[in-house]
Amino acid sequence: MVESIVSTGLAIGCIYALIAITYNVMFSASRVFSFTAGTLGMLGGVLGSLFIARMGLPVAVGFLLTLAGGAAIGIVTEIVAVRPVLKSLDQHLYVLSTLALALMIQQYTAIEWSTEPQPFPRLFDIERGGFDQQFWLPMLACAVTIVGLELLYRRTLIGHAFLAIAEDNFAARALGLPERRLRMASFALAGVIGALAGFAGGQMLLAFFANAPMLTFYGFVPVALGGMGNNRGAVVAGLLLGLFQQAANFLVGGIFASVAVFTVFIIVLLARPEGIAGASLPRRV
Amino acid sequence: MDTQATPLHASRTNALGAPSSLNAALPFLALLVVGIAFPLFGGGYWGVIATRACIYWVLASGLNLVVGFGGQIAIGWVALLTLGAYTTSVLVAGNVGPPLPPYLALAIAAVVGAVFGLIVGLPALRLRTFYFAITTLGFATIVTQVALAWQSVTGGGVGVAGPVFPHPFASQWGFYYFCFGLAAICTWMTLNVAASRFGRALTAIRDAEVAAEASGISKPGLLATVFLFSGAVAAVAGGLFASLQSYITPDAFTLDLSILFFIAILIGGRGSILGPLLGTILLTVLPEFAAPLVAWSTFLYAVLLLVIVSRSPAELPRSSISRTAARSRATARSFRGPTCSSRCLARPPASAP
Repeated sequence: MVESIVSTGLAIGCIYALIAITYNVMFSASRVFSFTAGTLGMLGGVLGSLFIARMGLPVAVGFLLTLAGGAAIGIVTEIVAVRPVLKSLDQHLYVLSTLALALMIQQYTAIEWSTEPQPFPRLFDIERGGFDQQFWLPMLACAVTIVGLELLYRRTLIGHAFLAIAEDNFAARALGLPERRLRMASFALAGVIGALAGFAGGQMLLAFFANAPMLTFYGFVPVALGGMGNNRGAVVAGLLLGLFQQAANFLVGGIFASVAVFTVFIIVLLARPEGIAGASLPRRV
Repeated sequence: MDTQATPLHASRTNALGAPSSLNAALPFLALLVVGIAFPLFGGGYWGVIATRACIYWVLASGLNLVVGFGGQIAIGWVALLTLGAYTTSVLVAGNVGPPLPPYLALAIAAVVGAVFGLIVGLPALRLRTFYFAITTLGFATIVTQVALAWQSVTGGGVGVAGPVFPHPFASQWGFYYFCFGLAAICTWMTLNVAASRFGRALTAIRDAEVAAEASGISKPGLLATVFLFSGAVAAVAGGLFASLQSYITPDAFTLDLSILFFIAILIGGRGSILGPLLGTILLTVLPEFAAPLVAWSTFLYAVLLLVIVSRSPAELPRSSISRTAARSRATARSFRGPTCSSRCLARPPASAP
């Protein structure tokens, strides 16, 4: 009982954390939250199921193609929904443009793929144990992503450039950094992380178009709780969210779990809009 | 119906008093006449569509105050439709307590909707734009999950039968007139709100929040009232929707519907009543003309939204600060900013509803 709560909760929490990191990577590159974050997670599951189960490609090929698909959607997001409205960031038009794009992708998936949840293939042909691959795959993906991002941001030149853009856009451009290309690269990276989340969690969430709004919301909760742009806060909050949700699900039922998560989300946002771990920003008046 | 609704519009023209107000009222009167005479030339299926358009407008009229006038990006408003539909159906079916008469159930649904409208709307006092949008989206997600999970009351995935309103509103055209009457009343109410200092205060909050608050507008009180109203009419629309559908399942309330309302308001233009009204009718009727497009309608609405956002941002909520105004915003805030809102507010409160 406890075992199953912990393993399911941590696995789901890892998926939420990965979606939260997707939000953060896009946010630090452009100061824009994109509704396509959850859509990318949904696409990870759908594309994985499409390539591996329906088209019969090898797992490794299907995996790489899924990530490439995520990267492509990330770049499309930047070109179609983010770049046109960046000039007037203070009008917050990105809320509507990214929402529109997310809906288009979701609707297209519903029509062309299926409106019913489709099975996601088992990736490794090993015995179904107590601690199954559907649980440790999201955890592995989350760990790899965190370590990879840390290495990228700390050790590589392009990672430093990402940080520079995120810290001070104008200063970075004054130094001659190619802001637009770096932003596109960030969105491609975010797309890869989002698709990875959906792919790794495919066996739990199935390949289902309606996962998109669900992941968009539950993936944003860690961002709001952990502070925007703060990946470590997002991971901790994501894991806690997953554990809390599963525990409440098992112990008191699904209704209470959903309502409790939403209540906590609203209360935290009202009390500390910058997130529990976030630094409070002075408001410009 | 004729005798009841026409004076409503007439009283508006009198209340405004200006000569141009008759011209402004003409489209509404024309719609009123068309709506009343509709059963004369509409077939059975068109009656269903016309009823649906009326129900959608009951919701959209309230949402219009939130989105078009208040500038809040409330994308998950379908949740309140769901809530109203389930509250009405469940109370009439007697799943909780004894079965209630439909009108009482509808009234209770309105109260529940108002309370939840307030709860969903409250974060808008502190949160802006994306945060608020995702809060409403989260609420929509959760209402659907609860409707699915709470099987003893909502019937889960199987659903629950919608209420049937007793005679004279039981027949198709009777029910149409019931919905049409409510839609007309909602139109009249929102027109009055928009023309009063209340509506101007809302616009001031949307356009220059700091200046508006500096001019003495209480943002919390104002937004709370709007969310109460909007939640109530959305829940009433839900009760009517459940009756029209005659059977409801959680599948009936997708986010697509929310987007339909939202885009109807956007293409109608912010700060207008007639525009969103026509937008709602258009978006309800349009898919009926092109049957192959029905499946793709939400996709097309999303494309439309993207085009509106990239092409003509001036039509959008929160984008009211035009580019020139944005450039001189610093000056406007210190010197000229409050003048608009203070002028708007300087009018005597006699015109309040």
